[in-house]
Amino acid sequence: MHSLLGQAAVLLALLAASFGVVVGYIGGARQSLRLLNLTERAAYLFAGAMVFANVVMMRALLAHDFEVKYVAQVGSRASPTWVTIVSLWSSLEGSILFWGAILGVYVAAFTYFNRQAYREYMAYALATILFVAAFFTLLVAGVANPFTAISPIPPDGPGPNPLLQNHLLMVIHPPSLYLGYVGMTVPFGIAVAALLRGRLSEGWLKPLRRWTMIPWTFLSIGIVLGGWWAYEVLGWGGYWAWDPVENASLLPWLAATGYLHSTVVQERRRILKAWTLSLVLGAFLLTILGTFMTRSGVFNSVHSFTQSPIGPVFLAFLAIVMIGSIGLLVGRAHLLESEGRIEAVLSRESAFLLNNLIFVVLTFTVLLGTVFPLVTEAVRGTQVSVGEPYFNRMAVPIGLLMVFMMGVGPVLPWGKPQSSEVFRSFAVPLAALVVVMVACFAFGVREWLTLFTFGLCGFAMAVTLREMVAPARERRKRRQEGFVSALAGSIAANRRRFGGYVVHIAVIVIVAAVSASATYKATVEASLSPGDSFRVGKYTLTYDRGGLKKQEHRDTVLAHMTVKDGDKIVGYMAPALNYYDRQREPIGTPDVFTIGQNDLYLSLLSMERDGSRIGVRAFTIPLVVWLWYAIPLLAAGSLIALWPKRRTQTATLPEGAATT
Amino acid sequence: MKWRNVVIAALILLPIIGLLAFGFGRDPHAVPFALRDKPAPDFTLHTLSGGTMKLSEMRGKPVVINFWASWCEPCKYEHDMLQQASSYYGETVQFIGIVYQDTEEAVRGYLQKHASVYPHLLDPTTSVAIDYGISGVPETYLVDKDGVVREKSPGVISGKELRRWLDNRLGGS
Amino acid sequence: MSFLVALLLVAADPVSAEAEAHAIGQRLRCPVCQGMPISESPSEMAQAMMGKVREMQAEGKSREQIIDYFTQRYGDWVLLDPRKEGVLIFLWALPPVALLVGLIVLRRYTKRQAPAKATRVAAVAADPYLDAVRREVEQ
Repeated sequence: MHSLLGQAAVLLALLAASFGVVVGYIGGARQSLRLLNLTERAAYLFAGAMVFANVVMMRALLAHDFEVKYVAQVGSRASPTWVTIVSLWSSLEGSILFWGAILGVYVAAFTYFNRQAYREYMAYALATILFVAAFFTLLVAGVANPFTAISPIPPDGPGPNPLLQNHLLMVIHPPSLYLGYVGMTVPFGIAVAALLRGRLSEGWLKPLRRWTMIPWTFLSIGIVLGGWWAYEVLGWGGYWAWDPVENASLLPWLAATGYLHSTVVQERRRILKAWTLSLVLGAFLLTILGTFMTRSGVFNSVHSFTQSPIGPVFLAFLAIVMIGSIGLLVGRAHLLESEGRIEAVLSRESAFLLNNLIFVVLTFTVLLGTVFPLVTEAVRGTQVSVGEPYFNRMAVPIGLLMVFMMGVGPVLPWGKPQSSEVFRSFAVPLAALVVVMVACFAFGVREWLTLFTFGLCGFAMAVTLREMVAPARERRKRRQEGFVSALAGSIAANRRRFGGYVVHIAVIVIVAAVSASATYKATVEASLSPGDSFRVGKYTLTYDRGGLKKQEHRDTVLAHMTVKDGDKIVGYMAPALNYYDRQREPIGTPDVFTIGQNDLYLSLLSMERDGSRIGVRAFTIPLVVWLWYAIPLLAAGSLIALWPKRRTQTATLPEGAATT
Repeated sequence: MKWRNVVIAALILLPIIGLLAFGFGRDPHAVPFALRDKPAPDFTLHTLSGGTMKLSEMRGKPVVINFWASWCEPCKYEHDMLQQASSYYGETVQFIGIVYQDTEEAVRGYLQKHASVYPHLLDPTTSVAIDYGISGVPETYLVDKDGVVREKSPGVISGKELRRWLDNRLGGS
Repeated sequence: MSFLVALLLVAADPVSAEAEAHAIGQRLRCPVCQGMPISESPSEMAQAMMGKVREMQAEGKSREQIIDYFTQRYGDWVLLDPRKEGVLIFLWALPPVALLVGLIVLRRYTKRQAPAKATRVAAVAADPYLDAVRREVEQ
């Protein structure tokens, strides 16, 4: 029943999307409102059918209907319910189906919110989004069909990959990442529509910005959550390893971040239209490339799905989109003439240009490192690896440059400022840099690079905070308001900027956390019998006893440890190893204990079954928690920026002149 | 101007697409075989029956080294074939198994159920496996009569492959 | 985002043998876990390889000798920090070259954009920064 219903829904979605593509492009070319109307309906129909198909799959999973191929692959009667829910996106076919549902929700929301606006572009935009949708639906209907009925019906299934059912973060991390990835389709559609029309009006910039901002937010949060998941599950005390799959999520993020900055210059100075659109197209291409990397088996990774036949199909799609995008840019970009100009080298606009260059170079570097093993194998026939040491050496200087620019950019005024005054406004931030460095030195930081990083963070933070409160102070002076109402008023007057600065603070916090945790991570390995102790940092860890927890889907052995600071017991920890039926190497569950700003991280390496001897690796890692604090900051900043203006305000403006 | 852009775009795009297409032809889990035609790393290991074996003392005939473990599912597929091959080549080829990251107890249990005609050596510190550049089990190597590593098969080895290795060596000498 | 991962670990204190072993392990790829250095992977194989590194250290082998030992067995594949030779030159050189080329392009772009006659137009207000703020407030 599920199999048939699901396949019917997928076919309906495929029909709706294909219909929408054809009608939308014709409608766009003829500028026909009637055809646009049909395209919008096709978009809704696609969304409905795809969401329905996902509901069917979820029901099949929960009902353990092993007739459905995907359920037979990942389902298991022994799995807890949350694992069953997670398994919708934990394996290849399901994740593509889930992908389709998210795209459906996006396209429906995009259609709904713009149902009366931007008539001249919408048909092209929807047709482009539905083109991408049709491709993914084609995968679901064809090579990656999860609904195929199998016979004989197996009595039970193996359950999802153990690594992916080990932590509750799996419930939110992949959906957040997918919301980021998939959402990039919408700005792609908007940018393609602008190119096809050969016109980028002020009005059309607004949805482009908003609909990039939304997936960008999810992608940012998804990336940090991915780090958190790796930290809590993989047991090596780290959260980022420059693994191809991690890079795949970072690449579109970098391109999109570049876009979010260049769009500011574009609005302000009316320049760089084609460049800005290229970044949007690039961000989308990189999401497709990223998906290809994770799902095709071309790259190696802890996260990658098993090899599958979708690779060649995906490659063909990637080629079509790449050729189409470049063709459009080459053929149409000259229509988007710059209207404004840059007046001085030392100005806010040049700072934004430099920022864009830095983002593009970093994107290029990460991409280069990720695909280079393929290059050497193709031209020299030898296999090489490009790993952490390379990426760190390349990305650290570029990253520091970025933090520096984060402090410089906001200080520089637009237009053609006078240099003496510019230099004067750097006095306070530079003082912050020195103060932070001296303070850190006094606290015992001796590594020059870390010291310098902290100093730059202080510099950027001082600038950001000043920029955040300065309008409020000015307002207070002029309007005699109280500080709080002045702040609220100034935020309301310029949400985007304020939100952007909140995100900057989040990024500064992340940089500081990464720098500190990487420099001051200490590791101790120990082999212990019950009663033995060892020291890590200022803590003494005692192994009390082993434990065994039998669950239906796995056996877990735990090492119960007591943590002491001097003579005082500060807590208990129990790192574990999980043994799954179908796998020999156990999967660890490290235990993380956060004491103040420091993490004590315990990873159980081995354990005799009777608990007589264990091997553990202990880490003390400072400031890692700051990374997780950055998540709400990122979300808050984005929400402030995205919060719509009061209607009365926008309604008075003619369409096309709206500025948010 | 426009055509120049098209050419530049094509020059950038085609290699990228070609490269990714090339990616399909390779196995991302493959680890290179760096020891090919190099002298085989020597080792002295304990056998399950209590004696010791030294690789360099087996010069004069080809040696097939099979790394395996009792917990390794794929190793079970090749077990019977390896036994038959060892019986077939008899004295002309030396077969040995090296146990990879496993307990002696588990190996004994396995071999009681699945009899073996050639000796199995224990590598408790995994150092011989590292010496040979192992990236998982099963993995099978061929060391020729002069003690040079000639072949490697990552993963389950087929009878055909093994035959090709050995008939080459034995026919040539 | 996480650009500054694992700063300075390679430059760790040379007096401590364990730090040196860790630094070597950082550069070697674990063959069973794909992509992770042997110093970080909790897998048995990686631990055995770290054991080998420590053993060779105890025998007085230099860092190069230890790295060579592993590349002889696993090829250059085992190096997470690829050598700077042959095609790999491009890997190391292209990012800085890209940055440089970008800077030149940017410089020419802003020059072309900026007015030819560099007349020093006086800033509208004494403090351009506060002026910007004021403009914002008035919005």
